[in-house]
Amino acid sequence: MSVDTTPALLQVEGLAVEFATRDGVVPAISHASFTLRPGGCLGLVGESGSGKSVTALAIMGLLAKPAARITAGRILLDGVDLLALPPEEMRALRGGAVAMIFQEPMSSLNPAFTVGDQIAEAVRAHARVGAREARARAIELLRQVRIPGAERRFDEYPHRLSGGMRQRVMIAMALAGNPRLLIADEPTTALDVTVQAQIVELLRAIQAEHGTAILLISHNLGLVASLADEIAVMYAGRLVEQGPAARILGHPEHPYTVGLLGAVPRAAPGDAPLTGIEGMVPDLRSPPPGCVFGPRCPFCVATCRAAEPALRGMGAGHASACLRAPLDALA
Amino acid sequence: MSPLLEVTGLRKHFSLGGFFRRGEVRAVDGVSFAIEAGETLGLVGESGCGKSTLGRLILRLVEPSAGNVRFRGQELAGLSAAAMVAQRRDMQLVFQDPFASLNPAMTVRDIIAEPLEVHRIDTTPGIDRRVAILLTRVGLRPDHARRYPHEFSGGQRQRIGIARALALEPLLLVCDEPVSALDVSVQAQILNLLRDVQREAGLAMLFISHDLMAVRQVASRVAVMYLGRLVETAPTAALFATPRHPYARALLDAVPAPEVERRPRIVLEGDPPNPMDPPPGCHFHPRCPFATERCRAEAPALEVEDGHAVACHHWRWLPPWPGLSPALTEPMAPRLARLLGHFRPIEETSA
Repeated sequence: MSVDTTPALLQVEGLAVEFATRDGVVPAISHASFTLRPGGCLGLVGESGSGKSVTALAIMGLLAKPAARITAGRILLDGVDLLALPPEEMRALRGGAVAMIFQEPMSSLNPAFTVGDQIAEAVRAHARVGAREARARAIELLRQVRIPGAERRFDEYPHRLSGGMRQRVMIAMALAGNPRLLIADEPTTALDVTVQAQIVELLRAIQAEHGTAILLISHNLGLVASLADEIAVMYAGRLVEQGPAARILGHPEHPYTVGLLGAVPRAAPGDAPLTGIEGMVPDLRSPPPGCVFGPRCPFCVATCRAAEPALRGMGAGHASACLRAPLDALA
Repeated sequence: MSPLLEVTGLRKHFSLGGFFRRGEVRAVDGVSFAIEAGETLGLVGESGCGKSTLGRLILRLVEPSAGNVRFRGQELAGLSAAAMVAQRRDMQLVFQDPFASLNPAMTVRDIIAEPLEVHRIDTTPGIDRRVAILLTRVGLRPDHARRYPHEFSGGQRQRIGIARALALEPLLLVCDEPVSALDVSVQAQILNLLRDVQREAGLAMLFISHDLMAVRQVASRVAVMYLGRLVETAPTAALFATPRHPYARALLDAVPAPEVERRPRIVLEGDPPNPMDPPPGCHFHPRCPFATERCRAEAPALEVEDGHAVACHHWRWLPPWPGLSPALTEPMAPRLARLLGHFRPIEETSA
């Protein structure tokens, strides 16, 4: 996706994931491909059910088996296919080279242990260190995530902390294994607005100070824009548009991205009603023929219903899976 | 004429049990405001600031510790249960979580019809007809009446909740975080719907949210709440143009904008404080970049100038506010605006 020639840190190629449900097989992700360069930030944007969290779990090797099945594709980290790794090597990688933080920090922390113990445990899971050294490292990590009074906080239980502090603790645990890739799945959604801004600043600082690459997953284009240098837009399990963040935000080439941008509340003069996207995400068990966005798209024509469009290059590392792109003639 | 809703010096103190550790939470600590008929007031603040308690106090779902709530000139405190039921017919609530607030064992018809039946508004065929009209009004289809809540998406469930709240044709709708559980594009649909029903029915609305941008879409006036107190109240346009309270500025600065050029912004330090142990003086002073000795000692009173009220000792001397991100305030790029012109502003959504 990016034009530079640095080898990708993460390369997802033709990933396809299916879920077996009572009502039949649901193709949750169909042939998703994207790359993330070392130290970069890729924003994966989509609404509930678009497959963005499934993508994250697939990378982490955390898909619930046997219900979920990866039917095609490769996930390369530094050129090594994670899908071909033996389980014990994958386990070592998780929380090590690849770490993840989730939306709800409270349900990801064990309420029966102090936050310090939990971070120290994460430290010892990835380094042969003694208890004292693990404690020192845990306090250092609490400092890195800007928790005031780190030494004092070490002995606190999660319920004593605010939502923002808990998310910082989660980030500290994620950093314990010195990850090269941090997957952040809706990391600020459950937090207050002013605290959201703090967490975004913290993630940016971590990216800058440690060179950690971030895969940022969110339904909020505004949040993604504040951190990502590349954006990939997901709809109904497909990547429908990807490219440099400035390009996606300033010159979108897929109607779904256009609709998402129209749904962001603005304070512009005129005070027009927000533009929504009519209808709902399709049922993936019986997707519409051709382009999956077709039934909701104001630009849909007969050819859109004939065959599913693939991503096509639009120049400058920008690609769209819309038959009618470039959209300039339709504007 | 008196306003539709008038709240004066409203307080709710929850006492914390325990013999040795007594204490109380001042969830709502002396709040006064009014809502005129047909007006929408946005109430903004972060979790724990007391905004949901305030909404419930107005409907008398919790009893106030002190203060008055007058609805249509009628004092609600002290009303008998029967008299309160009659008042509540004209004041309805829309909840945050459309997954938890609808009874999963009831059909959509029964959910929407329940208030009509409780208040014995109509005959069964008449109620069926009203339910069909309400479903259409909120962008659903009459045949959805036979279905159950689990068959609907979050946005559709919120539409069902709105239809139920509108069933009795209330004069006041209290919406408690009605869109915060929804995806951004669905939020836009629900905000448009609320704005439309509010304008068409001429009802008044108290729109409670932590999201200033959502509030801006529906409210003509905004009240900002911090730790149980109102710190700023202003017409929406004035608040967005010249926020006077440092906390209101911080909330506006925290709005994530889909901007290409990132601008430096002031990020507020620290968490919203613990309401069990509020800081003395101005509650905001520990997080305020402009706080002085006076702020630590003395709580500022609301000071009104040009219909814009603020509770800050220093608001006149604050440095000018740089404003919201241009990505949010400048007209949309012409190409994007033209493309969006092909999308209809959402009113109906079919399943």
